[in-house]
Order: sequence, then C-alpha cells, then structure tokens
Amino acid sequence: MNVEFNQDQKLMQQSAREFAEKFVKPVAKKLDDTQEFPVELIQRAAELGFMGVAIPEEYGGAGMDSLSYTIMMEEIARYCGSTSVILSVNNSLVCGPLLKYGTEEQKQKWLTPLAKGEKLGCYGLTEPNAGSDCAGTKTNAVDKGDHWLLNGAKIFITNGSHADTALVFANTDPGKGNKGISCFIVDMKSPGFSVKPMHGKMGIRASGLSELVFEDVKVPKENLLGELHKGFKIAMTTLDGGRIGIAAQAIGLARGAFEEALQYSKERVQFGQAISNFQAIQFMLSDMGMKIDAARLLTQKAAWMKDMGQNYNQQASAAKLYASEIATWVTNRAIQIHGGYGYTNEYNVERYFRDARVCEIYEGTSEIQRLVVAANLLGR
Amino acid sequence: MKILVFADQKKGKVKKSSFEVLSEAVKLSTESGAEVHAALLGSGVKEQAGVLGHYGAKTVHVVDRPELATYINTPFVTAAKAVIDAVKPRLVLFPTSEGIKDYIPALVQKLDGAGITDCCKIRWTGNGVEIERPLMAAKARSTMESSHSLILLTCRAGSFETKEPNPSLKAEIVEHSVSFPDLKQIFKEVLAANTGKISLDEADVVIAAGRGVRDAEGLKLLEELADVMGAALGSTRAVVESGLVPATLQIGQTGKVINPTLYIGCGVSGAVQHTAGMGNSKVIVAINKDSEAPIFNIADYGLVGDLFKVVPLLIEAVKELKKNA
Amino acid sequence: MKIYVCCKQVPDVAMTIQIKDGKFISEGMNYVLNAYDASCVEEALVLKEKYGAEVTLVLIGDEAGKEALRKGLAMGADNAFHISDPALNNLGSQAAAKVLQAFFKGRDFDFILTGKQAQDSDMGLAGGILSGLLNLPYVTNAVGLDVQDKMIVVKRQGDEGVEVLHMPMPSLITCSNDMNDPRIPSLKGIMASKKKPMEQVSLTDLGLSADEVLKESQKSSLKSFGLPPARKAGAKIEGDAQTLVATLMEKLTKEAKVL
Ligand SMILES: Cc1cc2nc3c(=O)[nH]c(=O)nc-3n(C[C@H](O)[C@H](O)[C@H](O)COP(=O)(O)OP(=O)(O)OC[C@H]3O[C@@H](n4cnc5c(N)ncnc54)[C@H](O)[C@@H]3O)c2cc1C
Ligand SMILES: Cc1cc2nc3c(=O)[nH]c(=O)nc-3n(C[C@H](O)[C@H](O)[C@H](O)COP(=O)(O)OP(=O)(O)OC[C@H]3O[C@@H](n4cnc5c(N)ncnc54)[C@H](O)[C@@H]3O)c2cc1C
Repeated sequence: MNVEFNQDQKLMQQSAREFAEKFVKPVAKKLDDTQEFPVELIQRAAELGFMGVAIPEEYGGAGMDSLSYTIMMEEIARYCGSTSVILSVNNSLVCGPLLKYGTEEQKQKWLTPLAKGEKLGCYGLTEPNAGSDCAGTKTNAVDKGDHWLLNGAKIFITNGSHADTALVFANTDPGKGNKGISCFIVDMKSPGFSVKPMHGKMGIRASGLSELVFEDVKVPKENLLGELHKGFKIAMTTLDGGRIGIAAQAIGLARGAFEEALQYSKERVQFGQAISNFQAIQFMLSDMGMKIDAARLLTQKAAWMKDMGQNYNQQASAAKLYASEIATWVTNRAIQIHGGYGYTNEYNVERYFRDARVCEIYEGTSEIQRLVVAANLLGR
Repeated sequence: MKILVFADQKKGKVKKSSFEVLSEAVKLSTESGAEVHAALLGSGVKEQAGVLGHYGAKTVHVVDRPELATYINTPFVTAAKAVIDAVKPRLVLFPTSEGIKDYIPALVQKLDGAGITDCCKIRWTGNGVEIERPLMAAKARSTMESSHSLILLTCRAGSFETKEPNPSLKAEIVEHSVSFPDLKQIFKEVLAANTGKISLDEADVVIAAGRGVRDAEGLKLLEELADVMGAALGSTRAVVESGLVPATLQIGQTGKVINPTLYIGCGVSGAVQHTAGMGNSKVIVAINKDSEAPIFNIADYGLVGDLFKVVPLLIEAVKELKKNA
Repeated sequence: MKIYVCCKQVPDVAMTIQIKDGKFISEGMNYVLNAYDASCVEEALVLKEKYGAEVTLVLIGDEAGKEALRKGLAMGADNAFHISDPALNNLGSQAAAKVLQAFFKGRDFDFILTGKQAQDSDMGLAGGILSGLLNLPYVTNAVGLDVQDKMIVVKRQGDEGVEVLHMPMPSLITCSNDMNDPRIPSLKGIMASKKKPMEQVSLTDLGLSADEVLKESQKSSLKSFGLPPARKAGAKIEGDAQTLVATLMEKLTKEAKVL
C-alpha cells in the first residue's frame, strides 16, 4: 500500500477541494438552518463527476478507485455533512450494488443516469421495526406473474425527498427472515409510491431524509436486482462499501472542526495569552490531530483492499467504527476549545458535532460494527 | 557611477511614489558615491521636471512627446531605453504602477540588464545591490543580490522614506529626442476611467470597501465617508467582482499596493491577497462585525460592529471635527 | 488558431508558509498550477469553444510539475510539453524566458499566454522578457481577451482604467486572474488527461547549454528567505456603535494623531 497519492488522486483532491471551498463552504450553515435539500449544489457536483466516482466510464462514472472516493468524501465533509452524505448514498449505496449485481440492461438503464448524476438514488433498507436487524423486514413483494406487487414502508431514507430511483429491500419469502429478502430497483414515480419528509433531525439536516411508503406499487419483473431471496447479501456487501465512505465523511467532519479549533486556539486570548499556549489545550489538539490521521490511514487501507479485490469486510467496519467514534470525540473537543462560543451557532463546531454524531448510527451502529469485527476475528 | 530614477506621472503631475524612490536613490548615492539622475517620460511633462531637482536629482532627463500621451508599452520602452543608453547608469530605479510593470520586462530584455521587481529594501554592496522583496502574496520575503553591469529595480510603494523637498536645489534639465518605431498594436480606448476624484495610490486616507458593503447603497455610505474625509475609495476583489466598483479600485496582490497614512477597511475580511496591498499603511482601522475576521490581526484599531451602524456615526463625527478645526 | 500557454507549478500560498534558517520549507506544501496560469488556460479554452483552437501547454519543471500540466489538460487543453532538466531547477524569470525562447524557436502560433506573475516569486517579468526575446508585441495584465478580424482584442487593467488594445497575431499576452474564474477539472477530464499527449523536452532538445541558462540566472540571485516583519494586532474595540465611533475618534486624534 502506497501512502502517497498518485496523480489522479491528487488531481481529484484538488478538484474536490476547490468545489468544496467555492460552493459547499459558503452554503453549509444555511443548509443546516433551512434543512433544504441542496438541489443546485448536487447538480454542480454531478457535472464534476462526483455522483459515480468509482463507477466505470462505460456506465457514466468517473472510473476512479475507492481511494479517490474517500478523498472526495473527506474534502466535502470537511465543510458539510449533509452534502457529503447525499453523495455517499448515491455513490456507494445505490451505484455500488447496481454495478456489482446488476444485469447489463439494468446497468444501462438505471446505473448510467445515476452515475452521471442525471438521476438521484436512495437506499431503502431500514424500517420502523427493522433497524440493526433487517431480518424483521415487513415490506413485502408478491409475485403477480408479470410483475411484483410492493407493499410496506421504509424509514430514515437519505435523499428520499429528491431521489428518482430507490433500491428497496423487501420480503419475498415470509418466515424465512434474512433468507427471504430480495432487492428491487424501483422507479419512484411509480403509482402507489409516496414519500414523506422527516424533520427534527439533530444533524445532517439537509439530506432529504424521508419515509417511503409503498401501496400496491407495481415493480416490473426485470427490476429484481441480483438473485431472488439473496437480498440480504446485497444489503450487507453494499454496506461494506458504504462504510468506507462514511468513515471518510467522519474524518472530513472531524478535520473541519479540528482546523477551526486549531485556528481559534491561536487567536483566543485568556490570562494574557493565546489559549494555545496552555498545555491542556495543546494536549487536546495533539490527540485530535493524531486520531484523525489514524482514522484516515485505517480508511485508506480498507479502500485500498477493496481496490485490490481483497475481502475488506472487517477493515471497512473497523474504519467506520473508529472514524465515527473519533469524529464525535474530536468535534466535541472542538466545542470545548471554543468554550461558550462553541456552544452557539455563531461558530461551526456545534454543527460539526451534530453532523458527526450520526456516523456512529447509520450504515450500522457502532455496536453492529463491533459485532462484524468480532465475527471476523473469531472466524464466525 | 550613476543612479537613474524614472519618475511616474499622471496628467503631467509627478506622483508621490516618484519622490519616495528618488529619496531612496539619494540615500544610496551617499553609500555608493553615485550621482543621482532622474527621468521623466510623457507628453506635456517638461514643466514638472524641476520638482525632481528639489528631491536631489542633479540632472533630469525629459522625453516630452505626444507619442507618450496615452500609455502603450512600445513607445515607453523606446523612450526609457534612449535615456538609459545616453545616461549609462549602473542602477535604475522605478516606482511601481501598472504602466511601469508593463514596460519594464521589455526594457530589461532590450538592455540585457538584471531586473528585480517590488523591492522594499535596497542596499549598495560595493559592487552591486542586495535587496529584499515580498513574495508569496507577501507572506514571505526574499533577499536577492545582483552585481550585474546594469540593474533595474522597481520599488514597492511605502517602503522607503520620502525626504522633505528643498526648493533651493535645482536640477539641470536635459531633453532627449527619440525616434519612435511604428506600432504593431493599436490602442483603442480607456474604459471605466477613474472618476477623477482622489487617486488611490496617491491618497493619504483610503476607505476600503469589502463584501460587507453588500450593494450600491452600502457603497454610497462609504463614498460619503471618503468625501468628508478627503479620502480615496478602494476595495477588495470581492467588490470588484460584484461589479460595484471598477477594477482600478482593487487593493491587493493583483490590484494596487497602497501606503496611506490611514486605511479604514469596512466589511473587509483581510484575506492575504488583500493585505498584501495595504499592509504598509501607517494606521489601519478595521470595521467588521465578525470579531474573528483576520483583518483584526493587523489592525491598529479594530472596531467590532456593523458598518451600517458605525459608518453613519463616523461620518457625523468627522464632519463635527472638521467644523471645529 | 494555435494558442500556447506557459505554465508554472507553485506552492499553494494559501497554506502556512514555513521558513527555517533562511530556507523555504517545501515539505508538507501542496503544489498547484499557478492561479494566473489557470486563468490563461481558462481563457484559451473559452476561445477554443468560441472559434476553434488548439491549446498547448508548456511547463518548465521537475517530475512533480507534470501534475500541473495534467490539471491544465484535465481542464481541457489539447496537449502539453514538459521541459525538464536538472539544470532547470528553481529558475528565475530571466532564465525561464531564455529557455522558453529556445522552445518557441521555429514554432508557429497565433499567440502565447502566460500568467502576469507566478504566485511564488510574484516577479512578473518572464512573459514580457520572453516576448522581447521572440520579438513579439506584448501586453501585460490582461483582464479580457477576444479575437476579431485576425486581431486579438485585449482589455488590460491599466492605471487609469481598462485599456483596450488590438494586437496582431502572433503576440504575447500575460493574464490576470481577474480575467475569469477557471473551471474546476471534472473527474472525467482528469481521467481523459491521462491519454492526452505530453511530450518530454530536455535542454539538449532545445539546443541550449546549461551555461547559457546559468548566464541568465547569474544576473541576479536569490540569497535567502525570511518572514515579513509582523504587524501587531492593535486594540479591538467592542461596544455599541456610539462607543466604537467615540473611541476611534479619540484614538485617531489623540493617540495616532492622523486626523
Ligand atoms: C440520519 C439518518 C440517515 C439514515 N439513512 C438511511 C438510509 O438512507 N437508508 C436506510 O436504509 N437506513 C438509513 N438510516 C437508518 C440507520 O441505518 C438505522 O437507524 C441504523 O441501522 C440503526 O437502526 P435503528 O435506528 O432501528 O436502531 P436499533 O437497531 O433499534 O438500535 C438501537 C440500539 O441497539 C443496539 N443494538 C441493536 N442490535 C444490537 C445487537 N445485536 N447487539 C448490540 N447492540 C445492538 C444498537 O447499536 C443501538 O445502540 C438512517 C438513519 C439516520 C439517523
Ligand atoms: C491569485 C489571487 C489574487 C487575489 N488578489 C486579490 C487582490 O488583489 N485584492 C483583494 O482584495 N483580493 C484578492 N483576492 C481575493 C481574496 O482572496 C479574497 O477573496 C477577498 O479579498 C475577499 O474580499 P472581502 O474581504 O471583501 O470579502 P469577504 O472575505 O467575504 O469578507 C467580507 C467581510 O465583511 C464582513 N461583514 C459583512 N457584513 C458586515 C457588516 N454589516 N458590517 C461589518 N462587517 C461586515 C464579514 O464579517 C467579512 O469579514 C485574490 C485571490 C487570489 C486567489
């Protein structure tokens, strides 16, 4: 594994950074305040190729590697959690499985416009009663001969408010738990498909979080993704890839907060000197920087293993687990360094903290990540 | 040995930056035993040549020709080269302006000289010069040396001390005749010319407008402040980009370098590219509502507040002061 | 049309600049395409889109410099020349112009664009000196560019306003970043740039000896780096508008005595 980026990756980093500084940074606070989905910003991101980074060019993607994808995620999350999660869902949770499990026709029809960013995707796995344990999936699809009939509801669906295409996991063999789940590509304009925006979130408030409701939604037969009843495996491998993206997102958020805290500590004067002169502050800063570096290396290793075609299940979980936990810790320390000011929304650090917090929950809670790592360690 | 200073002028009037550079040349001449000459290029400028003598030039070389009425580089290169060929100086100093920055490279090339721009310190070493100049958006400084047979330096505004003029000092005025080549380029016009108020690089007081002024109305407020203070209006690039003011008002790395006695930045954040152009001001005042704005790190007086509330009161206060004076 | 853009790779001056014992610390710095050159590339691409043109980049620099060329190619330039030689490290303006003169000898073009200055040295001489060496008319600090009736219409930011000049072809124009807002290379552009021609050029290819370059370099030499004298933060005045103005007037008249 090479610790220096190659030229493609360096150029990707420059483009992502320029985009983030020029377009994301100025609106990040407003997005959090208004909770409005950043339609124009996502269009711009699409023009630059950020919606399908690691998807081959023949399917409308940029044809770059997973490491490049983590670079982009970090640069964007450095300023805005909402924007970065929107990109991550489209890239890893929707384009990812379509590439891996889709037929050639499905790739042409569904993947290409999503990777180009002409269409937006969302990922519908979680249900009110099936979170960490998707065996409890109640949404069901019934074989009606020439189509599937979909009924049920999904909850906590990022991009739901603005997406065109949903990957929906539904029960196709009731009573079989995980072994009876299948994955469907669903056109969100289908009759019977409705979306209810969810408000009142702590962080990443502009990510179009929604409830999806299916009432007799007809899904064409050819829209089954992968094999029948093998949806659980698709969900799990997809999350492996997704977790690398969330790890990078957590690192970006931690870095954004860290940079602000570092700067603030040099400017804030108490007891006649900059607070960065106090060892207590210095220790916080050094731990923050160190943890961010460690998380980044762990994440890059997982991405590198994915690019090498190795089994990266354990590393992706470890990276996501570590990065999300240090992101909560680092953003929390950033508030501490800012003192009372950090507790107000005059400064960005409280937003970084709120945005970072969810990284420990979605795409598998920290507890679930520990289970995954342990299962690998114990060979189960 | 001779040191030749090219004076800069606007509409026939010698700019103050010229006196600054001339004063520095006089100082260098005492170290090096050199004779100080000055040169004045333009159209209808002859009358002004004498004033350069008051600042210590022994001889003033004048090229006063209609070809030099509007600025284009080729005739200025020709005229400057003719003077240098005749005077044969070892060291040539220039103030900085967009015109001089434009024609100096060709002059350096045609004379096979050594060229260094934007010098803020100059020392005669005995067989050449050692200079200091800012670089990397004025975040660093470099020291350079040259002992070339002909050294051409441009000087950064506000870096040197201007001596008091002595009207009893008289210079010999020498006019040079120059034959100008045909121009390959065609000059068309000057757009968005300065409004003729106080020019930015000459002003003692500068009011700088930043993005915080928001719109034409905010700008009007600053114009009013500039008027009552007898100040020139300048701006950041953000304000130029928004189309509120012409680019001639831009202060900074890609704009003008200014050194007024008093700079008042209103709604200016203090990006390095901006401060690169005003860091030499004697007193810096900043009015910004963000108490963490970087400009407060260099401001002598940093007012944390809303410019829309502060500036109207400031206008009244200055009016009051003028009334009592 | 055939447009050449001369480029330089420079440290990202937005980062913290570190200097130790008179030396510039390059470790940890990001290196980027000079912002003024990026504006040249952008403008050349706009002209290409409008009138059709071939846009060729030229860069003098070490191996890492290729990244800056690739950025230009990723933006949309057609091909690039990478002039590289151990004798060409850390060239000053005058030496760089000499090398470029050799490069352009015998080449056909309609115009050459260079940045008005490099963000690292801020010297602003190379373009104009190159035009002198090539005996081309030139203009610096362009903020607008167009082509009309086989003439290049240049808007230049001058002392009194924007000067409009018509330049013949070929000419050399140095560009300000106030000219445009350079496009961000798309990922597609970045991948495509790998397949675009980038030709390697050595000093020998240029028919130039290291001594000839050295002669230019020796006209002036860089001795050391330092930090500018820091300006200290003065008083921060807080309170309501009345207090602010009253305090300021007091300070300006009594303390600083500038009013
Ligand atoms: C902002 C946001 C965006 C989201 N976006 C999406 C999306 O786009 N698509 C999608 O499908 N889902 C999405 N989710 C859902 C998310 O993936 C789930 O919230 C998550 O998987 C946890 O499920 P749950 O909320 O039902 O919690 P539960 O599963 O009920 O967990 C509650 C607690 O119990 C713990 N726990 C559960 N099981 C175990 C166990 N076996 N051992 C130990 N501890 C356990 C958990 O770790 C947690 O601490 C999103 C969630 C949020 C908050
Ligand atoms: C190669 C290069 C060259 C450049 N050259 C130059 C140059 O020559 N000159 C230049 O200026 N810039 C230049 N820039 C741009 C520079 O980096 C900054 O973007 C620019 O200076 C910012 O301008 P600003 O301070 O007006 O705007 P901002 O940075 O947006 O700051 C606006 C400020 O106004 C304050 N504010 C807002 N409302 C109010 C209010 N009601 N009351 C009080 N304060 C308020 C805000 O707190 C903020 O601090 C260059 C950039 C590059 C990359």
